[in-house]
Amino acid sequence: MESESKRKKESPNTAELAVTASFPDEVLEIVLSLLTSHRDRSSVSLVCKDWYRAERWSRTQVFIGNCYSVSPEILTRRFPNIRSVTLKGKPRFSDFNLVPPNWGADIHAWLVAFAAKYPFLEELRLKRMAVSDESLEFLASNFPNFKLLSLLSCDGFSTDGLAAIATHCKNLTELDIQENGIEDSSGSWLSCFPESFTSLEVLNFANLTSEVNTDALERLVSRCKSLKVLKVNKSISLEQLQRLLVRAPQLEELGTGSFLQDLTARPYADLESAFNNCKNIHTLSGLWEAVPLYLPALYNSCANLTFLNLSYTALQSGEFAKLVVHCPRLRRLWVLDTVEDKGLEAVGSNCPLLEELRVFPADPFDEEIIHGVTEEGFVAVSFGCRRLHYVLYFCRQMTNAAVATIVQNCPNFTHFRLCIMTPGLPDYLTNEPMDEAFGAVVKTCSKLQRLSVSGLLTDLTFEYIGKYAKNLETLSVAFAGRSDRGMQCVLEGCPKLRKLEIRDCPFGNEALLSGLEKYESMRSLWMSACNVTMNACRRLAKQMPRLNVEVMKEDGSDDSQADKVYIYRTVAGPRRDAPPSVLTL
Amino acid sequence: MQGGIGLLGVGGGGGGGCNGNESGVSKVVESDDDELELGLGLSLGGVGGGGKGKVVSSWGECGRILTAKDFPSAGRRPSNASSSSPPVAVSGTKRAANSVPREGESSPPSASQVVGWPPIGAYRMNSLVNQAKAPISEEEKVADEKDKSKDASKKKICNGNKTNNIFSEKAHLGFVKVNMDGVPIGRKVDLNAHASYESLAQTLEEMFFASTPAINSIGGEKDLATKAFKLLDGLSEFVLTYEDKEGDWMLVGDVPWRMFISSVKRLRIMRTSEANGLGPRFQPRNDRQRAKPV
Repeated sequence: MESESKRKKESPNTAELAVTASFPDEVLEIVLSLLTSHRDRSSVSLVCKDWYRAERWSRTQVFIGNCYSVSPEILTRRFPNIRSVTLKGKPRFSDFNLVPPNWGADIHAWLVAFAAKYPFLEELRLKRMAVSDESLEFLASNFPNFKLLSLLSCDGFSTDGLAAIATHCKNLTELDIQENGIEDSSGSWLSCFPESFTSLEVLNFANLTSEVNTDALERLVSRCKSLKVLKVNKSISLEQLQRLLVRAPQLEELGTGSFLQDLTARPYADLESAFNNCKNIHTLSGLWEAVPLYLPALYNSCANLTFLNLSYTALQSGEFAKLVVHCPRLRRLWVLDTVEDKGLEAVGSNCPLLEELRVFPADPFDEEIIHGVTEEGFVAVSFGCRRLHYVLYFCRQMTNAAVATIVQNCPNFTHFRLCIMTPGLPDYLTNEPMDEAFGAVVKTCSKLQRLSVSGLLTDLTFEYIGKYAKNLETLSVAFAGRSDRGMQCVLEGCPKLRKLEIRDCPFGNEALLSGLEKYESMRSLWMSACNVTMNACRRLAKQMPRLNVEVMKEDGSDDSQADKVYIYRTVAGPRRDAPPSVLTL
Repeated sequence: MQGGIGLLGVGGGGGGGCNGNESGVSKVVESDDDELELGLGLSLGGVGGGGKGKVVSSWGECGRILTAKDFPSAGRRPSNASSSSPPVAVSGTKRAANSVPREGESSPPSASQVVGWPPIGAYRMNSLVNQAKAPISEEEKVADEKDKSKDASKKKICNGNKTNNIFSEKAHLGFVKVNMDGVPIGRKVDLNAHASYESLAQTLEEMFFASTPAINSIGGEKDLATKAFKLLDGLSEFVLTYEDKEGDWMLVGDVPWRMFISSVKRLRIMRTSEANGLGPRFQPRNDRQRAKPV
């Protein structure tokens, strides 16, 4: 299918390209087809025209981090043989309701282009895109080889769209629906998989709420012998789960349904034995409303677990500690802060291989809880888990000294996302800003790629970041800084910066305009509730035609203020589908 | 209570909890990635002229921003628009009534007053609220839940007819607040994790009276039966009371445990001197308790 017939060969230049001319294009393409990393491919395409051409013919996967940076036409023109597309749409702050609805990022135009140019498309992975039922139906009907659909944080569709996928995609291997704004009217979509359909390997509908037909699910699971990942939703009871496990002992990733049910002794024993029989499970999630009584059924399965996601399960420190004792091979752990510092101490003691820890707040708005987790829990983990390199930690208090200790123990952080939940909170012991904490992070962790800062921060934090964070790609800032200088330090200092998102900081026009050329080397910049004016944005837009400068105004705000600014590089020009609340300058 | 939650599912905010992407298979979306090299040098896209659209602020009308107002524990005034003034000097922002000020400076704005903060994705926020809900009666649940399928799945669990388990079918009720007289900051306790008054009392005593709380252990119930509990025996300075669904304050320990947890809304450790109005046995209230099938 590598369409040699379509290729237009240019006559090779002789002298200079004697070396490459002796290297037939076909061979070059085969060699390049072994390259999978997008960065490598991008580098390769810049070497010379022949390599650019060979690369574009041999590329089968494309990743587009900002759907507006390029248009469907440009994409399909450059790459004729794409089988797998990953697209990300809205700015990340849309997760927190900071982006107006109907902002854009609609998949449909892309699908139409793909139907014409990539009829053999197999995989589509979307994040923060607007997806309608019509689009899903279109997808289901126009791509006979379609295999993989992954929708993460998308919105605009309903379970009817899923029904279309289930009905028509005969070769589907993966259906992964996570954390979407989906209108969940009924679980009947699951029953739409035909009885002849057996190819499913991944099924994740954990975040849907409607009940599905459990008989249909059981039959589906029974006949899909290659099913490796099954994540069911809350409506599936423990007894139903047991029946599913019995039919799929080959499972590698399991998301349970509700872990709450009145089980008598016999069904409990069956459940335990079903878990014991699934010897390949390395990832476990779900456990909605888990009652500690039934957790021991999991103990044997925990021995091989590498990823445990308890972020929807409110376990307290004691019962969590008992569970974690059985998980010595854990590499990734997501929990709620109900486990408290004591629970995290147990993690430190029992999980020496831990690489990633995420601690979410169970009750983020309740001022009366002064527990949850503190700096002590984090420190305890750092002593026991020296391989830790990814952390997302929500807490209510922190100290500079604790963070310094943590990074001393774990200098290999690549992702350090610390969220002290009260904005602008200082070190609670010394009452000083948290500058030294993040200073320690960037000084010690040379591999740092992603950083989220919080607490009371002056410009010093940003001086540190600009000076030391040479590998930083993503920075998230909120309620921090003192002056334009802060943002300037970052823009001038971090050579690999790609995404900068800022909210509620005293950075203004001078800071914004200090990054002119920088923005073209970045994916995007988000600034909201800062001190940026419309005029400055206009100036920026005028000077940098290859950037799209979009401003979102809020009700009742000053006309001259640019409340929310989203700036991104693009080769597609200003977008034409912006809603009225978004102004493109 | 969750009036606003339903709106979240439509339009704007379906968000992963901070890039929540748990499936190992879909990791390519999150792992080290780079965008398509746009080849700015090789093929320049068209230079667009600036759009001159009118600025029409429809933001305010297109659905409601979820604020802390929608959550059960928030009793403060939330702000509906991001403040555009620099919040670094925190004295300018409104304080929550209950927040404990630090020495020498005014208290920072609490998490509940700011839109989109803390940065937890809309989907996860939704789930957490449902988990931490205070127990409500069957009727209230039907009235409150907008999503009837959610309702259906809850009912399904609740109507389980097994009788020989130690947790009632409403064990998913989770956390209730506990306040103690003279202590400004309350706690929350998970009734889920207890099967008896003794177990609950032990936890509360550890929370409020001990300096180093021990890990709560479910298996230790045998020891609890013989222990004396300050909060239950009515002899000490404090006594444990609870507010039931009708808003009445009752002494803890009068009714069977399962009946208690199906009607308790919150707990209060009251000074014995103030608990006089409740009396050791408050008979008239007992028969107003609707006996839930357990």
